[in-house]
Amino acid sequence: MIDLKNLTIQKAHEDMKSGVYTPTQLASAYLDVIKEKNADINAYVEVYDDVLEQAKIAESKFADGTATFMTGIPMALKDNMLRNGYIASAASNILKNYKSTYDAFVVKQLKDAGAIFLGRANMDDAAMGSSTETSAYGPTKNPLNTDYVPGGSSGGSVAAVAMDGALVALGSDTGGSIRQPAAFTNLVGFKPTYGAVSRSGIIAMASSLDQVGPIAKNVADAEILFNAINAHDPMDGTSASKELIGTIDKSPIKKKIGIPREFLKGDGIDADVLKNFDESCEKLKNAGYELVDVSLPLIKYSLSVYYIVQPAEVSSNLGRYDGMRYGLNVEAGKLFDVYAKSRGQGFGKEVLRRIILGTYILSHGYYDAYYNTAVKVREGIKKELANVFKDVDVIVTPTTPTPPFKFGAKSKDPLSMYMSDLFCVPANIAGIPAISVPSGLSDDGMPLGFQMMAPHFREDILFTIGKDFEKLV
Amino acid sequence: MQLEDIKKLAEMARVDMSDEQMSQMAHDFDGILAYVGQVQEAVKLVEENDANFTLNNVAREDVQTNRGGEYTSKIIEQFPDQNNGYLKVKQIL
Repeated sequence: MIDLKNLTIQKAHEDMKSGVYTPTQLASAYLDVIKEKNADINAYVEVYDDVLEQAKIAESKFADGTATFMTGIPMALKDNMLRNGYIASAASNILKNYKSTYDAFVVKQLKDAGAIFLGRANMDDAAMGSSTETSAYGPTKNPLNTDYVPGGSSGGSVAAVAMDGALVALGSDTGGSIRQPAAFTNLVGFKPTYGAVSRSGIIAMASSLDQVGPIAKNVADAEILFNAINAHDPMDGTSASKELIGTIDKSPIKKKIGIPREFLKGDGIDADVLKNFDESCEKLKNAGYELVDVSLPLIKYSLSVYYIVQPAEVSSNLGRYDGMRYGLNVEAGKLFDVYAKSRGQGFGKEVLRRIILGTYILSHGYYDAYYNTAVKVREGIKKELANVFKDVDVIVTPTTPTPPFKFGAKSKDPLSMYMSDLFCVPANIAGIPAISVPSGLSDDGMPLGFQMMAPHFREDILFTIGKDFEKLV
Repeated sequence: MQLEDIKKLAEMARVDMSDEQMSQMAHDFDGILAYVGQVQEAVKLVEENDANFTLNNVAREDVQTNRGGEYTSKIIEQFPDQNNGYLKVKQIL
């Protein structure tokens, strides 16, 4: 029996290298768990039919000495990532029959490394939601307590790892969709700098905010998976070039942490979340870090900016789903009705809400009041963060304003659901990297996360401090 | 927001929804718009220089990036209706 619960990438790599078990045996162990638990948890919407064939390829890499850290590592892909020849639906009815015609850049990178894709993980419909309750495949349950949501939108990815149905997973994060579910399932969730990971082959939600990143049981595993997908890709115009990354100031870590006190005083932030956050800061202080209060007067408007920019981009990006060339096609007599019926029936309630909201925000009379204004505030937020980063290594917050919640608790009130990403969205707005690391338990025994944000392309800072923090919890 | 406003937006966005769905949406929008409307207050705190947009668009060379016909059959396979490799659509009017 392989101890999947305590398995890390490094341990699995050493075990497979020294022949303790083979990639086939490891992959089979995960398939057994999936078989046992997935019917209840609903982490995967499809288990791939070629897992053992992939394992054979990994075995040949170990045999010929070309194995790297990701070789033979069984993992989950979020259902918005294209894998050639397989369905990628973004857990949406409109794409339920869509078969990928090519590999996403991240899929290709990992395939070349010999990673094993176990299946595609459930998510909120078109990545819109914070609880995985909006999925066209039904909700995913939180493996730590099935009365609770796993968070979202990458709820299937985190549940796969949390139930030991994958060693690691990829998620995507437009406004917290990796970090918030990672916090809800006691995992590490990492959103890289915008441009660090190619978006080619990822079903687009909001293109100026979307970023792919790892979900793992510890910071070291997240770092290994990130290193495997962090490369320049000419197929994504916003993928950062080596030259650009070369211009980044890589000054050494000062061991100085910024706390945006004002931001933590808003409505709707739970007392036990704040208590846990203060304890986390105290632990870092005792470990030799200096804590300073930082002033970020605009950061509290990040969620307002987000719910303008994001639906605006959603309404444009999702214009391509018209039932014409692929995806759901609802019969009607006239072309307009085919569009309207396919879209009306193919998109879920939350997706439709955002399409209509985005259409309103971008419409002639309201464009200046909403979109143009939000873009200006977004620039202001970026600049005030950049200013604070001159003095501190990281800015820290709780990952979420409340502990994990139960099914149905927020699904009827969109604004309260949106609020669960309050602390996550600033990193997407500014395009900076951010990580959520488990920080203890809430009063009702559910996990909480501690979030750290760093300057652009300073992932290294988050990995270093993240590993320090992990040891203190 | 009124039901009529949502109806107009739904037509622009090419989505067919029931009146009930649209009424619920109109109701939800009031709270959401009040919340996101806070940007109008926030923008007063943004200094003139800081509001300048610092990003620029990236364009690639306008050249063919894949072999002709490389993806054609895979793409046609997904057409809901086709004739000799042409996508068939319904009449416009």
